[in-house]
Amino acid sequence: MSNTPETVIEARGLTRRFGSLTAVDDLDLEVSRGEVFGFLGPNGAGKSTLIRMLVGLLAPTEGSARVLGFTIPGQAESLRARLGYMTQRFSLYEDLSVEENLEFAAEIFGLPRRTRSERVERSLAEYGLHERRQQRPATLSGGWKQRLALAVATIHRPEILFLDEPTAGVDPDNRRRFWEKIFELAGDGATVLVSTHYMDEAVRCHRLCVMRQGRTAAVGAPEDLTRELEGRVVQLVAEPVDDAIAELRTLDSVVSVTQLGHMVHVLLAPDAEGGAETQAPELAARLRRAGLACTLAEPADPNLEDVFVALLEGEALGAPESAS
Amino acid sequence: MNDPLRTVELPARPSRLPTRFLRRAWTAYQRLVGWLIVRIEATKGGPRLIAASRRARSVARKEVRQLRRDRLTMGFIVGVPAVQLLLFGYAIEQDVRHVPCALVDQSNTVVTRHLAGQLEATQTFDFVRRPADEASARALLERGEVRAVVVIPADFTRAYHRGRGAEVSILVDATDPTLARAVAASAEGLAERHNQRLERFTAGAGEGSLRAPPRRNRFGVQPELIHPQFLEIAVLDLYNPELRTALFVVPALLGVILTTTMIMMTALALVRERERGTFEFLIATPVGRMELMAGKILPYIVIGFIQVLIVVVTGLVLFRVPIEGRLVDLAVASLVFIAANLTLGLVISATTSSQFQATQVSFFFFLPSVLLSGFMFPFESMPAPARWLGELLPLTHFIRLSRGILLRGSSLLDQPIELLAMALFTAVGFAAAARLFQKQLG
Repeated sequence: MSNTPETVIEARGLTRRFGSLTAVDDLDLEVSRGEVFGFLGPNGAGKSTLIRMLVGLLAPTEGSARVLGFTIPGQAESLRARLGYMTQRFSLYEDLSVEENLEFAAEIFGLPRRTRSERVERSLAEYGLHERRQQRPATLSGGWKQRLALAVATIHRPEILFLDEPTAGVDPDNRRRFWEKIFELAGDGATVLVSTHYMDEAVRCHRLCVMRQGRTAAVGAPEDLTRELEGRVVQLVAEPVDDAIAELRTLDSVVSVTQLGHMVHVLLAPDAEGGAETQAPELAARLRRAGLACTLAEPADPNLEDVFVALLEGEALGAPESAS
Repeated sequence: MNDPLRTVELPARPSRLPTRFLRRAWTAYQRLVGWLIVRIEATKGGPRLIAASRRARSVARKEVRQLRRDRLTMGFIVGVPAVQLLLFGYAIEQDVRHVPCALVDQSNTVVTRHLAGQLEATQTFDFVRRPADEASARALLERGEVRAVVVIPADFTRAYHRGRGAEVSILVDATDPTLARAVAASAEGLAERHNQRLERFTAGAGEGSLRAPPRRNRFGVQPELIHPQFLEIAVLDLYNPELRTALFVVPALLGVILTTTMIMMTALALVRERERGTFEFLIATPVGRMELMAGKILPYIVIGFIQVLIVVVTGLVLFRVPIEGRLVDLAVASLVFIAANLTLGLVISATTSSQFQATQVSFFFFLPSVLLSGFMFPFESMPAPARWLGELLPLTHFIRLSRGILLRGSSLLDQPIELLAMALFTAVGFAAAARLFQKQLG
């Protein structure tokens, strides 16, 4: 591998409107080969629309994108065999068996006859679908369906894999395994673009694009994004919790308050004087003054949720150089 | 059976073929296909063509697999021709039998009694009343007590023996055209058979031109040469004098059945993918638009031919619809007609977004097809604008062709315009479908 990673996806000013609604708004993007690149955002943030545009299934209203050097969507057809796409909604044939779905995908992606059945077998084994080969997807549980969908999307060994909320509605254990699979694929050299609204998944990506209302709110490695909030998080234990939270929310120096079990997690405003070190005892004093018991107040590590909240508050985070 | 590695390639399961000859033919066919593939692959653009046709075949095979598991659709494919044929066919068959009739036999001789017996033997006529004169018979007809009146005039026997052409008149209540047609067909058939037998006698006597056959003798007496006895039965359709034979229904029905099923099937074929969400998977694969459409249509062409077979064979066996023309002509006409309907289905499929919509649009097309094509009403009797509309419908042209081929024994070349019209419709339809159908969302 060369020192400068090859850019496989490049988007400039990508915009898609549906009537008066702007689903994706003037979005720039750059993804390097071998990355696991995440799109994090609430429902309706434009994640699916963006992915569909990059796969070439939706024409952008404005802007342009290049995938593996090809212009999208004009040259999308020449790219098909090199892209894999797993749709948000299960989109395989419910009336074909697991095996038949894989076979059909292998045929339609033009795998040579000799390698086809071998590849189908290997996929069945890799994704643990062996005993379920004759089953119809309709009778599979959500987790198994997702596995099948990933197996189908990767049957032709795509260079770029687009996964649109692949783990929505899947239990944690299956989600964990699914992500192991994603890293395996990335380890084999595939570039993976995955959209999610789970923080614990987003944090696993090499790089992340936090989306809000069709725009990029921030781009960067998860740890870089959280690092920017260092010194702005305070952790408290106070009684009664409800009153403490209500009290903290009235303060100008506080952006958000979240209850985590017995703990109260506080994100401070960027202009809060002295940062967490200074603010922690001040917040404790404030609570005591209000007649509440505060047994702990200390600076804490920011997490991705803080990033998300900060971005929602309109803060500018993320290295702009990776976005343009 | 459960072999997981089963590949479903072209040269599959030769072992299932019953005889050695078939196996050899199969091998030869495989070799031919193999040779063709190699030759095509060697040409410029050949590999792409082969890859494209393989993808189309994959889509077709997948479609067949799904079809086989879709009982409702399979029922539709076999059920629609069966039900329609039996419905219309029984209407033909039932009315041919046991029509309540009145007999006015003013001659009343051995000959006329024999004639009446023969008419009853056709099972069409049931002489439930024997009024004395025509006037009272007409009254019965008007009251609806009988549906037809057979009048044998007083001079019938004399005319018969003189060979002048004896005439029987039948008055039919043609408010029900099918019944009237059946009565007419039955009576005319009887007269024709009788006269043909006579002519054969004439020819056998070597005096054909003189038409002087030996007297037909049922009791083994030597025939003696006397005047011929031609029998003429004049059928007078009372309220609807322009009747056609009931046989016309089946060839037209063939077209109607194909229209119903073919348009609907393909209209649903693509829309179903869209509705079930599989469309998004499909368009993200390398399968081309044309390949996808071709793969979608292909199975239905075969199904269309199965339906043609069902209808023609049933028509022949149950309703004795003749096949006067060549089967090749019928096959070619059917192929073009099926293609025309399938492309229309594709257009519907490309423009609608749910199966419900697709069904509605299909019906929107289906009704004028039935009404304006000459299936329901004689084309010639329709007002000009209706006829112009009718000319736009492929069914109109197919009905003309199928009636010509099946009933009149004409060939395709006798009616080239009809075939061209259907071909043109197909071409326009396919172009439109190709334009309208995009591998895109939203």
